Amino acid sequence: MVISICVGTTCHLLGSSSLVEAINELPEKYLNNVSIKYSTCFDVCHGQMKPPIAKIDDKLYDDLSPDKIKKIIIAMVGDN
Amino acid sequence: MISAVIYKKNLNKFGEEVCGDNFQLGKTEDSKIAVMSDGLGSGIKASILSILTTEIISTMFKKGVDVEEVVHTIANTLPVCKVRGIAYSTFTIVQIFRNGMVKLVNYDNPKPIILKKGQLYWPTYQEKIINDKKIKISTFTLDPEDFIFVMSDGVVHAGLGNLMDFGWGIENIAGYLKRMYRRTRDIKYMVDNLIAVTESYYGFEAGDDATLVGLKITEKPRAIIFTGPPLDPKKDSYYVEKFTKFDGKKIISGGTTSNIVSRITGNEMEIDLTSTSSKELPPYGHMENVDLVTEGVLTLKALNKLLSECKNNMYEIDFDKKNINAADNMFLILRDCDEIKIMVGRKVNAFYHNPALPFDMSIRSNLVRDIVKNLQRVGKDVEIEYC
Ligand code: FES
Repeated sequence: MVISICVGTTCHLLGSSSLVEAINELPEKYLNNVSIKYSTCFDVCHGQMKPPIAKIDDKLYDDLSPDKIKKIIIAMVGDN
Repeated sequence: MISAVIYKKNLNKFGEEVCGDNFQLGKTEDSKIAVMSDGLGSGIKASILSILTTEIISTMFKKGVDVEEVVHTIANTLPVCKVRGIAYSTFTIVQIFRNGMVKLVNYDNPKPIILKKGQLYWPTYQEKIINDKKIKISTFTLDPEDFIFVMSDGVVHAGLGNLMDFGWGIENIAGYLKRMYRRTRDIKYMVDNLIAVTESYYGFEAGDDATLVGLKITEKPRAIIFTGPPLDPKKDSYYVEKFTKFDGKKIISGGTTSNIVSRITGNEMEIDLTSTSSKELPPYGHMENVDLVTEGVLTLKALNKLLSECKNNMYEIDFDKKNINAADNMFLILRDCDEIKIMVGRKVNAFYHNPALPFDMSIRSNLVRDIVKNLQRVGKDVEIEYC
């Protein structure tokens, strides 16, 4: 799966760099299944969604924390 | 179109408070002019003489007088020391035209060293005797990545009587610079390095003022920064076209701005996964036909901080080349440019007023104003367009 992490101003200020670190801490069996990309602002942070925001396989997730994104990935890879 | 980045470093004669050499930079409509003068003797008196010489030359250039006439005037006014029979000051003028032509005028300073495509190049000089003074003039062309080094005799004489019979001499210096060129094209590094060697040849007690001016010929001396989305979205494509057609280095600073450019040009933005070296700044990237794409306000804020640390020129800051962030990167691009254009979009991101953020982010235009002031202080021509 492809994870695009927003590194726009607001997402960055609200912690998007810690998301990348968190993902990289995952055990290899998960990491082998994901490719990480950076993205500029998804233009959804002006009130619709709460930064930091990431897109996982075309779906946007907001208000992410290191724990939250790890759980999402584990759940998704686990399903496969 | 070519221009030059210029960097100077000097040593004062040991024990002297001021340097008897002087250097000035000037420009005309179509050229950049560097003048270096060496005043007779050392200390205050020499300093006044050399300042006077560079001052007269630069002022005349600014008034639009051409080189030959400037030389005429200076040669006719420069007094000669009665005791020693030599002029009170010597000078070298380098005029670099945008079309690649270079005019070199030398009066009694060491021969400038020129590196053309990495090889030493010794142009032929035409000699003119003006008021008993032998002035050497040469005209030739140079390309980007070529170099000219102008120096006072204090550099050439280093080592005299101390380590060598006649100092390390112009030939050795030329050979040294040529070897250095194979390792780096960084003008600041080259000049600093050569002056350090000079100083060591003097046993760290320079016997004369020593000045080295390095000029690196560069291409595309202009840069444009596009930051912030235009107020009226209907005008997006107009401004994007203006941006992409710009002749020079192109920088986008801002996520929404880069999305707009990407949407209109169809070029996708690529963010370097390895560029996330700094915790404070988001990573940067590239786009086809765009040299650098960065986040907006935070990066500009960091750029402004770097600029405000420079007093006179942008070479006062050193970077660890392996570890540069988005703002350092932008700084380095701007450093090589003479003219900088900034296109500032005035649409404010509503989220920037969010109290969850550490400071008011709706400050783009104030920030740009500060950046413009700082860029002008370090000698850049800045044009700003609000869109
Ligand atoms: S900054 Fe991340 S969606 Fe806008």
